[in-house]
Amino acid sequence: MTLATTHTAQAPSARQIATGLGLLAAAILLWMIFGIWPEWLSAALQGKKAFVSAILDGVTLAGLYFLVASGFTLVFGLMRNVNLAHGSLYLLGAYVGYDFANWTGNWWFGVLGGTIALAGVGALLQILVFQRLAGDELRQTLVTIGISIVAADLMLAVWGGKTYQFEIPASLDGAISLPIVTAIRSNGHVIFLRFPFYRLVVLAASVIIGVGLWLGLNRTRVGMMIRAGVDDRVMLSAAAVNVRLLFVGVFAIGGALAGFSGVVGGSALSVAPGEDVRYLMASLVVVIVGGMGSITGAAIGALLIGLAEQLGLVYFPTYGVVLTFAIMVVTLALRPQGILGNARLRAADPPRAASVNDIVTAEFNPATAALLFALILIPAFASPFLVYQVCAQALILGLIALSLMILAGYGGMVSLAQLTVAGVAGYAVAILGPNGAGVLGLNWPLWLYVPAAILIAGAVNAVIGVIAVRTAGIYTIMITLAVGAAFFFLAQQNYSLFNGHSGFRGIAPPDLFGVSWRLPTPFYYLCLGVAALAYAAVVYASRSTFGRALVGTRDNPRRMRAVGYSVTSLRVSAYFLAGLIAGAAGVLLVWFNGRISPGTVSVSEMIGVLVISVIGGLRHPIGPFLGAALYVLLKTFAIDLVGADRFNTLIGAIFLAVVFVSPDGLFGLWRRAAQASAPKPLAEP
Amino acid sequence: MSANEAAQRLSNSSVYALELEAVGRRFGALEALADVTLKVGAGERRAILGSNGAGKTTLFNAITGDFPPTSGRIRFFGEDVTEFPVEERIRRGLRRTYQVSQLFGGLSVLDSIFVACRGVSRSRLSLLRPGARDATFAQARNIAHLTHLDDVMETPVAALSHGQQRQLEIALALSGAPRFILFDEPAAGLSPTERRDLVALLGALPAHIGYIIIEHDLDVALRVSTYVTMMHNGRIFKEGLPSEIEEDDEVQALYLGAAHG
Repeated sequence: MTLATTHTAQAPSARQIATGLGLLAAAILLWMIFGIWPEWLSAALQGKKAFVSAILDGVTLAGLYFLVASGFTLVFGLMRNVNLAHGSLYLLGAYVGYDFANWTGNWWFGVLGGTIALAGVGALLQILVFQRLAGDELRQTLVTIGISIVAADLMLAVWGGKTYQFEIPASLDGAISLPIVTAIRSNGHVIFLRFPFYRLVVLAASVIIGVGLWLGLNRTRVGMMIRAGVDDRVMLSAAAVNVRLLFVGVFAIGGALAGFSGVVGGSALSVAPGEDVRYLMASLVVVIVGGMGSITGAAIGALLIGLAEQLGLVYFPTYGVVLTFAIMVVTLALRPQGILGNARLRAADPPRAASVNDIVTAEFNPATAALLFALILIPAFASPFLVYQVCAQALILGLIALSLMILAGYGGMVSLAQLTVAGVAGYAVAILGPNGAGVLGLNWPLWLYVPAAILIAGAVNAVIGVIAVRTAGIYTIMITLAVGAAFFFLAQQNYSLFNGHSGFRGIAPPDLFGVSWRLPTPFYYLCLGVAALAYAAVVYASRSTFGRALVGTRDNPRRMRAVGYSVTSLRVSAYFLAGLIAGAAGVLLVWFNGRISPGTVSVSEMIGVLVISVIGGLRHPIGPFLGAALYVLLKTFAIDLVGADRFNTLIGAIFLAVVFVSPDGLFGLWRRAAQASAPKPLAEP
Repeated sequence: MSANEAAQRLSNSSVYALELEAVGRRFGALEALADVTLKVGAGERRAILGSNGAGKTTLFNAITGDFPPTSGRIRFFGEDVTEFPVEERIRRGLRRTYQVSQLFGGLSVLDSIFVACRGVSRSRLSLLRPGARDATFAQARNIAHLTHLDDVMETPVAALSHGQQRQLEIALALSGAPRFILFDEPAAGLSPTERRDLVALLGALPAHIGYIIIEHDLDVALRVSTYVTMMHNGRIFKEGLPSEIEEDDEVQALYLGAAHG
C-alpha cells in the first residue's frame, strides 16, 4: 500500500516538472518572437528575422502536414488500414481542384471540388477494395501500395510531368505585416515582420479543422463510435453499430481531408508528380511520432516535424532531414507507440496473411540443379543485351528481394528498407573504392572495400532492425519506409559524403584473374554465382536452428521468450544476415549501373523491391527471383506490350492482381499448376 | 505456520526453487496481485486453487516475467530474478505452459520441441543444420514420445487437435532440462482419458523437477500435488495439505461454491 501511495504522489510531480519546463520553453519562445534581441543572440541565430520566419514557416508547414496526416491517422485508428495511397489522394485532390478552379474560374470552387471528389474516391476505395479484404491488414496495406503505383502513373499520363501553380484569390494573396519587430533602425524606425497572408490562412484553416475534428470525435455520438472502434472493433459491431457504414464514412472524411489539403497545400507550394510521395512520407513520420490513431498526436507530431524541417533548413541545410529522422528514432526508442499512441495498437498481432505464412520448405532437388544448368547455358543463346540488361539485372534485383523474403517470409517482418541497405553498400563501394566522380574515392583495394561494403550493409540493416523490432506488424512497413525515405533525402542533400544529387559515377567491376568482369557474360556469371550462393545459403540456413527459431518468432514471439530465446536479438540477427545479402546485391548493383545516386534508392525503387517479392511469392526463396525476372522483362519490353511508357500501371496492376488472386505469387501459381498436372496418387482403397 | 506445513516443506529439500516476497501487480487502478509471499521447495509439487480472477495466472506471469510484478521480489533457486527478462529466467531452468495454447503454427511438432530444447543452449542461434543423429533431435523425439505425440511429429502445429495442442504445450515446458515448471490449467479441454494420461505424466516426472499447477479440476489438482495454496482476490488466502484443503469449510464455500455456483 505504501508503494501505491508513493506512486500516485510521484506521477503528477513528474508531470508538473514537464509542464513547468514546457511553460518555461513557451515563455522563452514568446520572448524570442516578440522581444527585442540583444546583439549576441542575433549573431548566434543569423538574426531575428531568419529565426522568427523559420518558426512561422515551420508552424504553417505543420498546419499543412497536420491536415494531410489527420486523414491518414483517422483511417488507421478505426480500421488499422495503413493507407499508403494517402499521398496519391493528396495529389489527385490537388489536380482535380486545379481543373475545377480553372474550369469555374474560381479558386474556392477548386477547393470545394477537390474536397468532395476525394471524399467520393475515399468512400469508393473502402467499398470496392478494402471491404473485400477486411481483417487482412497486410494485404490491405499491400493493396494501397499497388494503388499508389498505378495512381501515380495514371496521374502522370493525364496531367503530365509539368508543375501547376494555383492562382490564389487576391483577397488571400500578398504579404501582411505582423506585430513582430525584427529590428529597430538607428533613426528609430521600427521594422515589422512581413509574412505571406495565404500561409496564415492555411494555418488558421488547419487549426479550425483540427479543433472541429477533435470536437467531432470527442463530443458527438458518431465520434464516440469512432473512438470505440479504435479500442475494440468487435465490441462496436456487437453494440449494433453499422460498422460498415461508419467505415465508409470515415474513409470519405479521410479522402476529403487529403483532397482539401491537396488543393490548399498545392496553392501554397505547387502541384507536381512526386508530391504524393513527399506528403505520404510526411504523414508517416507525423503519425509515427505523434501516435497512430490520435488526432491530438497528429497535431503534436506535425508541429515537431514542421518546425524541425524549417529550422533545419535555415540552420543546418545539408542535415535537415537528419533532424526529422532523429525525432522519429528518439520517439520510437522512448515510446514505440508514439507520443499519444495507444500501446495496444503497437503490440497488435503480426500481420497474418497467406502471402507470408506457411513457408514451403526449400530443399536442394533435381529441379534446382536443372534450373541452375539452364541459367548457366543462357549466354550461349541470348544476346549480350539480354544477358546483361535482363538476366544480370534480374539476378541482382532478385537478390535484394531475397533479403526481403528472408525477413518477411521466415520472420514475418516486411521491411521496405532492403534496397536502402543495398544502396548503402553501393555508396560504400563508391566512397571506399575507386570512382570516376573525382569526389572522395579512397581507392581501397578490392579485397578490402567489397567485404567492407557488405559488412557495412549488414550493420546498417541491424541498426534498422533495432529501430524496427520495437514495434510489430504493419508498423514495420511504415518505419522501414520512413527510414529508407530518410536515407534518400540525406543522400540527396548531403554533399560532403554522398555527393548530393549527382552521386558517384564511373564505378566498374575490376579486371581480375585475367577476366574483364564488366563484360556482359562474365558479369552475368558473377551475378549468377553470388545469387546461387545466397540462395543455397538461405535454403541451408532455413533448416538450421536459427531458421526454425526465426519462424517460431514469426508465429509466436511470446512463446519464444518462454522457451529461452531473446526475440530482439533473434530478429536483429535476421536483419543483419539479410543485410549481408542485400549488401552483396548492392555491390553488384553499383557495378551494373556504373553509378549510384539518390535515385537508385528512391521510394518508388524501394517499393519496386516489395512488388518483386510479392509478385514472385514470399513463401519460398525462389519466389523473389521469379518476381525479379518478370519485373525486369516487363520493364524492358513494356513499350512493345502496351504501346506507351505505362510500365508502372502494368506492374502495379499485376501486383494488385497477385495480392487479390494469388497471395503466394508466381511461386504459388507455378506450384498449383505443377500439382494439377502431376499424376494423381492412387486412390485410397 | 503449522508443524505439518513446516514438515512438508522440509521433506523434499532445504533449497527453495521459488521464493516470492510481497509480490504485487497492478493494472492501472486494479490490484490483480497483492502482497503474495510464497516459498516452494526444489522438487516440490504445489497446486494453486482459486476462482476466476483470483490472480493465479497473473502470479505465473509475474514469476516468468511475461508481465513483471510492480512490487516485491522473486528469487529462483536463491537468485534474485525480479528484473530479469523472460528468457533469462527460462535459461535458469524455469518453464511454463499457457492456459490458452501459445504455439508455433508454422512449425512441425518435432521442430517446435527441437526449437524449445535449443532455446536454453548456446547453439540457439546456430546457422548450422542439425544432422540426422543430432542429440537435441533425439531429446525432442523422446519428449514427443512422453507426451503421446509420436504419431504427429511431422505434422504442422496448426493442424493438431485441441488435445494434441495441449500435449505440445506440456512438451515445450519439458524441453531443455527444466528445474521448475508452472503448469497453467494443463487439463483444460482434455478428455477423461487424456486427463488420466496427464496425471500419469506429472507423476512420472523426475523427482528433482518441481512444479506449481493451476487446475480447476480438483480430482487432478489434489492427486498431483503435495501441498495446496488457495488464492482469492489477488491474495493468498489459505495453505494446507490436499486432504486439509478438501475438507476445509471455508474453501468449500469460497472456491467450490464459486466454481460450481
